[in-house]
Amino acid sequence: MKIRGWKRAMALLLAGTMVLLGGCSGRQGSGADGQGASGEKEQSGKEKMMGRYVEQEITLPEEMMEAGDYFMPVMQTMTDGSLALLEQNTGMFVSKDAGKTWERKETPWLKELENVYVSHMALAPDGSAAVVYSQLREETDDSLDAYVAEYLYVDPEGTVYRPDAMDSGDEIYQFWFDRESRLYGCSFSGNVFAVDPVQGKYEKCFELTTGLDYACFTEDYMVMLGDMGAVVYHLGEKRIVEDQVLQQFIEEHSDPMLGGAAGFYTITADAGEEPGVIYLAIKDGIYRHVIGGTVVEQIADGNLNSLGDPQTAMRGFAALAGDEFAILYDKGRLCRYVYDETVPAVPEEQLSVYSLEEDYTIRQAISLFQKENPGVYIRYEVGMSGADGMTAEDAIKNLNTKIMSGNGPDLLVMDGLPEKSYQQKGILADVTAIEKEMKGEDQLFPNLTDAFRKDGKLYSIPMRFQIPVIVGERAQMEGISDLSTLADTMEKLRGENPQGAILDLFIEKQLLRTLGNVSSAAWLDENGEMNKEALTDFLSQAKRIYQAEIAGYSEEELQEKRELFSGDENGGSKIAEPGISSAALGIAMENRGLGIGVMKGMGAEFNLIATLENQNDGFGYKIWQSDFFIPSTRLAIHADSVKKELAVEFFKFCFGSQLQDMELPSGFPVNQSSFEKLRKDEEADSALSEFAIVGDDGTGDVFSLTIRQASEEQFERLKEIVKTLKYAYIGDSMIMQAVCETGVRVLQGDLTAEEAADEIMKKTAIYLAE
Amino acid sequence: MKEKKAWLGFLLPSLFGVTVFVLLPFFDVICRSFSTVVTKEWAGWNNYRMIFENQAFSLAVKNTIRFTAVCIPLLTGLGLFLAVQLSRLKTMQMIKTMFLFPMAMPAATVVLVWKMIFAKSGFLNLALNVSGLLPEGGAIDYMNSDEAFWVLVVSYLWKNLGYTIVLWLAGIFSIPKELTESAKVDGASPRQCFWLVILPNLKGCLYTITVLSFLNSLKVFREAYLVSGPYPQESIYLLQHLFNNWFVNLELDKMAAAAVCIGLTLFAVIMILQKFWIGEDEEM
Repeated sequence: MKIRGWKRAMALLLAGTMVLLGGCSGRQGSGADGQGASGEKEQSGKEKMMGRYVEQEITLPEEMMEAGDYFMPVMQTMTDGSLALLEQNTGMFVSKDAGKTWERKETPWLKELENVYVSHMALAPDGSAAVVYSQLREETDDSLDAYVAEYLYVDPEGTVYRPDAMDSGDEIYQFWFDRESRLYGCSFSGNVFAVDPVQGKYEKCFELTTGLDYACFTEDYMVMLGDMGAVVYHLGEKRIVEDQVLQQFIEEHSDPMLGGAAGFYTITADAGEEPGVIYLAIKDGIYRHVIGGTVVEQIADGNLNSLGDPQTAMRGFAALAGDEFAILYDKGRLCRYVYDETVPAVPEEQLSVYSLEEDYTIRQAISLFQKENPGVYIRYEVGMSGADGMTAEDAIKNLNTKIMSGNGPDLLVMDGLPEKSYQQKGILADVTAIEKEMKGEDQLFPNLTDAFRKDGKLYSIPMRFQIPVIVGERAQMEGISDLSTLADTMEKLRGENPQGAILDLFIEKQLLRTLGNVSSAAWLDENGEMNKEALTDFLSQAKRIYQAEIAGYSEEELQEKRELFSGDENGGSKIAEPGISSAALGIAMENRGLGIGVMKGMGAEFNLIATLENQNDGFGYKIWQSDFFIPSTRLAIHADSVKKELAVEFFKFCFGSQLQDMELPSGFPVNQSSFEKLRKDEEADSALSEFAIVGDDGTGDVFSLTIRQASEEQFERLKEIVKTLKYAYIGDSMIMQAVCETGVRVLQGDLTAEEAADEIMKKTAIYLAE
Repeated sequence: MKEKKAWLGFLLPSLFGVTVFVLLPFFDVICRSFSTVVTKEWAGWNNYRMIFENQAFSLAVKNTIRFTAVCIPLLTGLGLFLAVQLSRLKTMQMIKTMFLFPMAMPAATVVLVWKMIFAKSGFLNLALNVSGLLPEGGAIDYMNSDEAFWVLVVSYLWKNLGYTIVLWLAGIFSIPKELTESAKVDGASPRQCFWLVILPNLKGCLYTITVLSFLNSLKVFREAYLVSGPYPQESIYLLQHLFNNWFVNLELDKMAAAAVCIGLTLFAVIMILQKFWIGEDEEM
């Protein structure tokens, strides 16, 4: 009896244990939670969820299509439910069938805006319109105070009014109409006014703390969106209403606002048919919120339509009848979003991609791939979204937990991840065979991929690359081959020019990081241990360079310049790496002697340098620390991905011409034929862009430049340089941090280079020993 | 019969929890310590060999042992001394709860205060400077020098001393007054009373306090991590730092081997302590 009871108890204990363990266990490599490798379980166990918003492109009126890049219309849902577009040059068009056909509406008053600069335009549901504009300035007028805002209001009958400016001198820069077609304006000082355009009266409603980006109106509320979040104003009660849920949503989800610059928005909104309901469109999708409600719910996923495309900007958003939406994008695209209950809520084929930080290139790749393959859903997971205070270490720990529980992503962007460890542990698949298949149009630069080959295996390939270069007068650059010769040149230049900037790098950490980017490969010897000699030499040369730089400033000037960056440093944010285009411009404007930085692309960088080369025979560039390049968006496939075929397809797509042909901010394409296409013969002599900069020396001198495409010869030279690149600089953040923190004390004279090298070696000893 | 089985009802829930959340995971860790992380191939003693050849592991073990060896005698001794003194106060019961305040203090706030005190331009250097005890140019960044170890020791003592005093006081107050009074009647001096009556009666309490102090000493990692990150000054680089960093680098095989070694060592130490104290009690 006693034994039976004991057995029963043990049986119960074991059964309970097994149940619990069964519940806890994860199938290796299965990706069960929908966030992991595929989300299969989500689909297989339950009935398939059907219905989602699908995107349909609407053909715009022909006149507007022809306007091309200069097409800057406003969009409005009219009182009768029709959709209207108003544009300065092409006029007004109305569609009563949700964009199928367009009918022109006469707008003779637009003639009055023919020779002015329109900075903002608003269209009311009843057909009235309001415009903020200024007179075009004479080219010779260099005065910065020449901008004076003028206003124009047109009532539904077409009568034109020109409201006077405010007595206070404050200027309206944006007009918005509410649902009753009453006019509101937002001024430069942040005041929001109810405007009576006929009488020319301005009644202050409230004040915004930052600039306004977008506004929308329900029957009772005005909702203003901007960097301050969301401000909800009750129109009847004339008071601001708290909406913490909306405020938090805007803070967490919105990108930095553009302030309506050039009519582009990162967030747009419109009121729905139901009272108090607003719809918001951001890159993550379309969201619904009831003013004062407790949730902001996603109704359309931005990853499945153009909203998720990072190269697409919004110009307007309209909620149409029947819970449909229209979004006006740049480049003359208007899309309608219609709920289709016959398609699955989420495409059945799923793939997941992980990157530690938001990666523009991979987001672009996902957007394009999904457009090409509407039946595939790519879940993009960002480890450090920036909204939740997650550190890199915590994000990697979370990723490791997912990988070890079999829920790891199918593809990984290796930037910032422990790649060496992942390779050794077998987390990453060998992509050698895939790379071999990339031929013809898809052929990659072999020297760039070889830089990542280890023992004949290839675990990741960068989607883009950057080239560290030095720009300046050729005569001065000739002798520069390393830090020591750079320091010699700096000292020589300082001797010749006792005042002003040379590299314009006066923040210690910024200088150390910039120099360290290309020197750090020498800090570790072949055994993986710190090389004291190399470290001491680096710090000694950095000190010489720093001293030569700051010798041209007075203590007050240095203090002033440093204060500009102190906010960044104290806030813990990384001081931006110096851009090579600003360095090249600085040299052309004679503000500095030399420039070092990374060249990331043709548009604003190589073409700018080439243009300056053509203008000034003495000006040139050379690769800084030969053979090195900086890889970006290193893509790898998870060895245990259950969607291996699809993962390989996406991997190939990322290196195919469709994506690689695009000019992206993260660097040059690694695809050879895409690189060749960077120079376009048809643009050989045309001006790519023109700009003018007012110097900060107080003289008011204007430096103007027309950037033209690099010549074939210049481009060939760049290509030759690219072909010589052999080694990838993959920064080790821990070592760089130790060098920068201790190196600052060397530059400030608190430590000798040798003492600092000892301290750095001590600091990094544990890290390297692990 | 039913009464005899009642112990099962009390034992099973906790046994179930310990089995599921401790014993089985530890068994899994033992298995992992003999295999590779992802491919699960048999690695034999390779992982163990690697950790014993690893300098970071040696340093972390050395620092952890040093910290424990310094802190636990200090904490128990100081706690007992203060508890004995405080037990003579009549208002003791009222102020007892105040000793627990440091335990309730969130680590993040403690860390903020540390930074203010022990930075190069912090309050400690300022105070030393004002009092003329700091030679010119002698200001040091305490958390980035060898002094960091002693900062950690003081912090540990500050945080755990109150709790230890409360435990000692509970032990002291549970000793029947008759024992000390009869000793006094027999002519024992206060010192004799303490050594021959009070201290032997606190032996069980000492075992509990030592084990709790030891477990709390492992928690000091939080403060060290929040002040100096994953790679602090080498004198305060503890085993938890190493485990944390290994996890980031997915060195789970090394972690498993190290965990087995440490688990076995802790088990052995606790068994020895138990044998030493409780075993002796049983003999008595």
